Formats: sequence, C-alpha cells, structure tokens
Amino acid sequence: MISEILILLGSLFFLIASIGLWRLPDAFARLHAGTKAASLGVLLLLLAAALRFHDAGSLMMVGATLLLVFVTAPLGGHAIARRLAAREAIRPMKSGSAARGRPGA
Amino acid sequence: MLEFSTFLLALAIALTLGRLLATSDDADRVISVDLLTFQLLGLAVVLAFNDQRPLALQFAFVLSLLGFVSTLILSRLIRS
Repeated sequence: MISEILILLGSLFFLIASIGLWRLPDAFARLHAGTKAASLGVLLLLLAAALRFHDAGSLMMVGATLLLVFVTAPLGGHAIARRLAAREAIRPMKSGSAARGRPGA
Repeated sequence: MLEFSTFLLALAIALTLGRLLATSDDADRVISVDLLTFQLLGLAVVLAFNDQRPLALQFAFVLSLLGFVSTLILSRLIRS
C-alpha cells in the first residue's frame, strides 16, 4: 500500500519535471527542473522498490542505483551548466568578489 | 493505482520527447535527453512492480550508468 503511494508520488514528480521543462523561461532554470525533480522521483520510486522486494540482491541493486544516481546527476547537470555558461559568456562569481557586486552586470 | 502511475510516467515521457522535438536549442535538447534517461529508469522500476520480479531493477542500474555517460558526451556538443 505505502509502496504504491510512493510510486504515485515519484511519477508525479517526473511529470512535474516535464512540465517544468516546458514552462520555465531560461535554459538554466530548465536544467534546475530537469535535474532536481528527476532525482527526487528516482528516490521515491527506488524506495518503493526497496519496500516491495525483500531479497538481498534487489536491495543491493536499489542501493547501488540510488548511490549512482545521486552521485552522477549533479555531475551531469554541472557539465551542461559549464558549457551553457561558456556559451552565454557568463563568468561565475569568484570568492571575495561579492562585495563588488555581480561580475559582468 | 499502478496503471495510473504508469499513465503519469508515459505522459511525462511524451512531454519530454515533445520538448526534445520542438526546441531548436542545443542545450535544451541535452537537458531533455538527460531527463529522458531518468524517466526511462523510473519506467523500468514500474516494470519491476508490474511483473512482480526484481529483474528489471538491473535495467534501472544500467540505465543510470548509461544516462551519465550520454549526458557527459552530449554536453560536449553545446556550441560555445
């Protein structure tokens, strides 16, 4: 019962990520939607699978997938954001430059 | 309830595919493919529930690995 509720919530977060891909105004904002909401959806779906399947092999597979997704999803998003910042000619704020305001503004 | 969540996931995948086809920006396409691999991973987990067999969890593991590599390689294609 509770695993079905978790599956429903996870699918809902995937749908929210897709809607954010259409609705958000900027490529950086769309990257934000596509990475974070999808990570939460994967977390909820894999928690549901861990509650349903009790043997050691599937629990290990759920843990490995969860670890891999939560390590690699920010890395992929960071790779996209770096190329995007290079394309839009946005310089990231250096440490200590906050007192001078945003660079390039 | 499982049918309804499968319908939600299929709707999400259709929306992402539509975004992939509709946009003309390279970065939007890469973001769409990144999200699409995660959604296919979720569909593999729902498939494991539907079959009552945990075999499809291994598909989910392989899809997560494949999604990371494809995102890294496709992000090189954003022209600067």
